[in-house]
Amino acid sequence: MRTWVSTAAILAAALVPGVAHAAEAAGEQGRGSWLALLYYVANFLIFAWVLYRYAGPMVRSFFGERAGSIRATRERAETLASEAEARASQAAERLARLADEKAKLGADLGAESALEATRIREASRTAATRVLRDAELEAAALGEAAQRRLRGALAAAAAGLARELLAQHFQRADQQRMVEEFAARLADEGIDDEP
Amino acid sequence: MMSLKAARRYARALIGLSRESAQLERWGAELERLARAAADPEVATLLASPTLTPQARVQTIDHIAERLAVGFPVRSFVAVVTRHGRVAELEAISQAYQHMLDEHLGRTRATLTFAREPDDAQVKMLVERLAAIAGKTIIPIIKVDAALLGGVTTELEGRIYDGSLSTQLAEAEKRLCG
Repeated sequence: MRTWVSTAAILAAALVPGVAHAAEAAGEQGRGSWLALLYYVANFLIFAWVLYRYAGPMVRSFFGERAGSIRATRERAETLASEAEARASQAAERLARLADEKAKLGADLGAESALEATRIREASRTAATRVLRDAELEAAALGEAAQRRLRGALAAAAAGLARELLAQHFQRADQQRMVEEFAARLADEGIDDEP
Repeated sequence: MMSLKAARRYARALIGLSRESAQLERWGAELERLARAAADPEVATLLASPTLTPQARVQTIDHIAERLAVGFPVRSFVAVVTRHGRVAELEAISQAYQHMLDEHLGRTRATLTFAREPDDAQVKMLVERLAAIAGKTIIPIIKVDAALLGGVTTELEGRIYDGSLSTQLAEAEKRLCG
């Protein structure tokens, strides 16, 4: 049946144009032709049917695929938009947390700085005390050494002077007296040594 | 270097030859004279020369002893010492002999160092005191040292008794130094 209809349509399309041209030619001489109108209508219907028969599925398929693609794109865009929104909210939360963290870090740093400053002050005070004590000890030692040197120099000078005086004024009588005193000491020694 | 032990052994051998103190004293003096002569650098070099035969060495020392009027016993003793190759140690033997003789005769030597030349009375006084301390007869060895400034020091049996001005001054200086 479909083959028959197609064959008839093709034959009509092949034969009718001659009749239509003839009618049109007759009409050009002063009056319209119903046959020509019929021909145009039939021609149009055949064209529309052919178009519908062969191009319709491709057009439907094209627009169907296109609609699917647009839907997929829209869904992806929606997904991306929701992801972006989620990330934006996460970023906002992180920013909020960062501000808290910054405040906490600032507080910690402040506390640590205060502690460090206290420790440095304490160390400085200890060092200063130690330096002062060392300086006092060193000064005392230096003073003592100077006194010792001075005493030594004075003693050496006094002894030197005494030697000079003795060399000048020591007499035989002095020597005699010293020998006698020494003999007396020896006598005491002899008594001490006796059992 | 001869050991003190060997020198004392030779000295004891010589002391053992007589019981008479005067003779021991004389031998000590002779041995000291001979030891001093043998210690002279020229004589010591000659006696130590390897070109000298042992016999010639004995003859040489005997000749020196004869010249120093050393008696026969000491000359014989020194000849023995020389034959034993100990001629260079005569001084040590002499000192050991003197020490042993002092012990044998109950006496000891004391060194008295004066700042000025002492008179006999001063020496006698100190010797008496030292004899009282040692309980022995004292043979004084007198020295003079001006560096003492004044006074006297003595050394008796290893002990020193100091009565010098220089020591008193040094002690005073030390006390002043603190």
